[in-house]
Amino acid sequence: MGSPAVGVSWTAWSLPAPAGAAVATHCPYCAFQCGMRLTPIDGGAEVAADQDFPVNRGLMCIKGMSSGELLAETTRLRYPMVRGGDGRMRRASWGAALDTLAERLAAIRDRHGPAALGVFGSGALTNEKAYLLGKFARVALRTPNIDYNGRYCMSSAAAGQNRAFGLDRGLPFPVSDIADADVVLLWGSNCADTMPPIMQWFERMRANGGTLIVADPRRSATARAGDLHLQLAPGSDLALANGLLHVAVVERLVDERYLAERTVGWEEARRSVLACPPSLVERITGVPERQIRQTARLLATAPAAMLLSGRGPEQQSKGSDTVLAFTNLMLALGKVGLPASGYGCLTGQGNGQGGREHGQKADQLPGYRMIADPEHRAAVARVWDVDPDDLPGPGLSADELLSTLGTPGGVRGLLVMGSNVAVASADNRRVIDGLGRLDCLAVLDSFPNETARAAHVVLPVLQWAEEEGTMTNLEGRVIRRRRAVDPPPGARSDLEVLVALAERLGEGARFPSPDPRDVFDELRRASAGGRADYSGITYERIDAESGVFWPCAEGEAGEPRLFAERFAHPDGRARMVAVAHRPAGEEPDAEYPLWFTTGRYREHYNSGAQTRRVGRLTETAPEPRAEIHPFLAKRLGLGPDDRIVIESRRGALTLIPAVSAEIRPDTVFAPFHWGGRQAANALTSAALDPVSRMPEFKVCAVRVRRVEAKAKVAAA
Amino acid sequence: MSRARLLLVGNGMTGDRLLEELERRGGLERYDVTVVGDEIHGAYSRILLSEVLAGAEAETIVSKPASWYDERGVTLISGRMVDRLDRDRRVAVLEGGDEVPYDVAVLALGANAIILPIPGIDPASGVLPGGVHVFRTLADCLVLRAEVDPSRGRRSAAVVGGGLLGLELAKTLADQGHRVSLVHPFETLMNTQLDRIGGDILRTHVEAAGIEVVVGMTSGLRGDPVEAIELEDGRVIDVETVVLAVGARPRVDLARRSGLEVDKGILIDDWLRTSDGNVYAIGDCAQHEGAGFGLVAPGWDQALVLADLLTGDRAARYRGSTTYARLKAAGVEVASLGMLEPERDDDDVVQVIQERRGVYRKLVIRDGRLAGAIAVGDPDAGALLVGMLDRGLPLPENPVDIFCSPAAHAGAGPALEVEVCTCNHVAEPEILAAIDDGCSTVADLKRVTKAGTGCGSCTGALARLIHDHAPASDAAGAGWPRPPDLVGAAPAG
Repeated sequence: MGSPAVGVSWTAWSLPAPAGAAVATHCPYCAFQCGMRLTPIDGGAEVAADQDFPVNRGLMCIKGMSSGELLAETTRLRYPMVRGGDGRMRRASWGAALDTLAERLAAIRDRHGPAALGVFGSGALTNEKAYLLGKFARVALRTPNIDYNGRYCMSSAAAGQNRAFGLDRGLPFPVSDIADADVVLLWGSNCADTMPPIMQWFERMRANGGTLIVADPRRSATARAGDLHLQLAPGSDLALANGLLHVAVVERLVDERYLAERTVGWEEARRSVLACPPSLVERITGVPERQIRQTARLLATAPAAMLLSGRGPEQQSKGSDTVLAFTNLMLALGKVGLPASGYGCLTGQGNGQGGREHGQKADQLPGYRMIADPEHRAAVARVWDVDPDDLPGPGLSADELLSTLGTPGGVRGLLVMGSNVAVASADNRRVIDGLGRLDCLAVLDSFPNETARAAHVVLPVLQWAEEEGTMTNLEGRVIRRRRAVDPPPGARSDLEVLVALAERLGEGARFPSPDPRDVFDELRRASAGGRADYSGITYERIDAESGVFWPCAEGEAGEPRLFAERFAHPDGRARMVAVAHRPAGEEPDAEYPLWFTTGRYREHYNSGAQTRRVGRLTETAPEPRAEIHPFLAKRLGLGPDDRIVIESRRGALTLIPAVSAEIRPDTVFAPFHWGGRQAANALTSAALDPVSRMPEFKVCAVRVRRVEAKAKVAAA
Repeated sequence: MSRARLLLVGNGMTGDRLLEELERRGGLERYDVTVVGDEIHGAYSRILLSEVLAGAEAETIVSKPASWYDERGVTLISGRMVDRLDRDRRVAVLEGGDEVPYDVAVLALGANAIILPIPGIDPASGVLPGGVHVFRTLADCLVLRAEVDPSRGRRSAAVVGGGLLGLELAKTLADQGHRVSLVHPFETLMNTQLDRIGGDILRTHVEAAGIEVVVGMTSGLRGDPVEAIELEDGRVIDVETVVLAVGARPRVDLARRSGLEVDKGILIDDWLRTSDGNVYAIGDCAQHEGAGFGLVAPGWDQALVLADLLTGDRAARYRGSTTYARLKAAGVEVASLGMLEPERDDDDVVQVIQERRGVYRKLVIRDGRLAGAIAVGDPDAGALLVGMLDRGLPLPENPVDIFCSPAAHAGAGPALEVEVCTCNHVAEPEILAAIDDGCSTVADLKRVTKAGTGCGSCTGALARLIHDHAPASDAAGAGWPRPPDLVGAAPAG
């Protein structure tokens, strides 16, 4: 198809790696986990992209390239702090801080029961940390209430893939397979900004004659790099996916033989989309019927076709059903399990994949075992040397857990590891209020963040280039994070902290070692036989093989490509599930007539706790801006220095507008990397998906008004 | 505790949707549901009948086979109809006398195809001569399909009625190779959805698709089996097959016999109640504030509201529907929505006509907002316009702007420029200016503009810009001045 509308090329290019003592590790940020080489220099490290790592192949984005600045960052937490009786934070020794924390947690447990303790983990944690944190919650604290920010990220895709395929691995193939696809439908992912090095694979695919279709309410950098853009209305993804399947059914594009041999539930799914004719879907989505038909035909007739989704369709109160609509479509077209074909999701956080496999999710145990399943409980209890009956049951999901903070019967003591919930949560004022009500809030992080402002105990921990461990990237490839620089004195590893706390809580015997290799060995045993089986993966194999794909049982090779022969359900067949469009938790109305949706800047990552400290990034993207359509700008009568106030039923936000015809006239976009008065999540809605418990970050209703430049000056 | 008994009379697309929405809301557990439908099948998608006519298997459009009802404990009485409701006793009396008691009844009876009262058709029985068809039910469709099976040779067919259904049928028959006349009483095709200009433009497309458009009032049929259509002006068209597509009439007999208030349709309020509070009516058989529709979407809107009401959401109300009609046949796309003509003095109308290209767009504007629109020959306009209508946001000062492509908005504000270096937000004009100022290597550009110093992925693009735009240093003949109009042009990918 045509050449890209933008003069950006992702042709491979790179900086030469400096000679000398470079350490090969991976980027601290997203799930692409670019291979990088760090050379220690005075007060930090020099960063170069790794030419040899097969995922990024020598490319990196500016976030990774500038990450060395984090190692020289002067606002780094360097000693523990404890809030005194006067409410002020004071420096404390490690021993005193750990004693205080353990005592307070134990006191809350004694008075209110173990469920009054909560643990909030992160998709940024290594597999070792995620594993040990889950064990710590269940065995040392004995609380069911552990969840993590991956609930905000991957939970809908996870729920959909588990239901459809019996297994949840973000991509069922190596990312390099993209180059071999003929058609890729990239749905609700702005990866040209969020994980730029992936674009080289789409570029290759297009150079090979392939077609890139992008579905997004914004004509994003990614959409501009594609051949066809489906500019759907926020919250209408499920309707569009069902509309595509309707066209496939009516135009007889489905693969009946594949459906008969490899799936269950096709008849119900097929019948349900009879109710989704293009004229109706066009009305809900705003995507013209012609494009709906064109997309369905392109996907169906391509020998190799992929549908890859990002957070756009997933972070909705119907996100898990939307993912099922995606899997239905790709199964019906007979693509899943074929070479360079199928459905995949582009995981967001650095270890969003591994983080959800090893037990820091409220309903899961290591190896992607389910905590409600007696056999799964028994298997893990054996490794942990506890009575299965002593293991807690399923706990509260992330948003539900945070909703109970400091409420009667809710969580009163919370330990947060590597997550900035005060910024990252939907309707975040609610969460900030909850944090303020806690009897005890402990924050483990490398940098002070918005969440730590309410903390009673702050513990400084190591960051990526200072520690060892494993991460699992978006492909399900387990890779090694290596120590390249010495940590600052005063910081300890998260693993050390957990072991020290477990000792103080009387469970030291079950937490024998803070050494990442020892913890990984235990993780291997705990995951053996589970859906995400890591038992055959060793640090040595990871080094030798550029990473190892799970599932990988002892003595096996690992599986870069899944589902070629069978799906992970006991009968080997994929499940198709009839799903239907429904309105978002909040739709625009006369009072709040516009949609609001959130996303990312190329320069920033998640809540910005790291990237907002990097000069090179904040110089280019110093603040959030509200992207609005020229029609809206004109209607508001915006002058050159005016700002706009965006209001939802939950909060308001004053931002500099960025006027762009690349957003829909009925939609306002803002990035969520900032906190305080710049927090986009002050507006968002915590309507939850009934299955995945994902909050609806991507859709809510707002209104906007202009603030004159004068008024702004007067207020300042 | 025994459950309330819900009786659904009619198993068309509206009733089908009601069952879906009830199931989604737990309504099938809450009620003991009985469905009575006079077609012998379970529910099917009527709007896909043209696919069956074109050759698809009938069962592929069935949305609810008998097993669906069985699996959910829903009683299906198919192939029979309710004669009347005995509302005092809350009992439905079936044709033949059987009774079905109910606590709540929902009438989703749909509409019957109109049969013209003309010579050649027995007005008492309504029995059609051989070769004459209506096209409303799956049974109708299968009979017609057998007759026009292309393997039996080319036929002369006339479709009477140039509305949505008639046009779709005419196209399907023409695609099958038949000689098709479309007989319509007005100059304007789709006159319910289009104005004169739109109808004219549509007609040129229809004729270009090989369909003969005959404007005239059908006044009679000759022969049984049919041999010809007679028109009021005396013309006679020889045909072997006739399909009457002159509209449908709400099915109200049952309501009349049951003593419910009826106008053109069964009268309903915002709660979708008939004049009896225990009896609801939705879809084509119902009439809300004077409006009946004949389209699927309004009935589905009503089914959603009724499902809410029946499952305990007392706040649900039906506030009417905006019509959105789409035709994608005869090689042209048509969209028609809301008001077609101005009604008040201060209503505004914008028409954009590209007659020679067969494209027509019309906006009807009230209070600065879209109140209705027509688009003929512009395949992408419908989605845009119906969104504008549904959102109800103010239109731009110059309403024609809504048809702008994004590039036309340049200068509307501090718009994002197309960037070469997206890391450092360096746009092409800045790089070209730096080249003009003497930068002749990628390293120069990096130093001067900072482009390429982020992730470095734009280095190739920088090199290309230098290659294309920097004056070559020594080579003979090089260094021609660059035409100024290239400045700012989009670079090649």
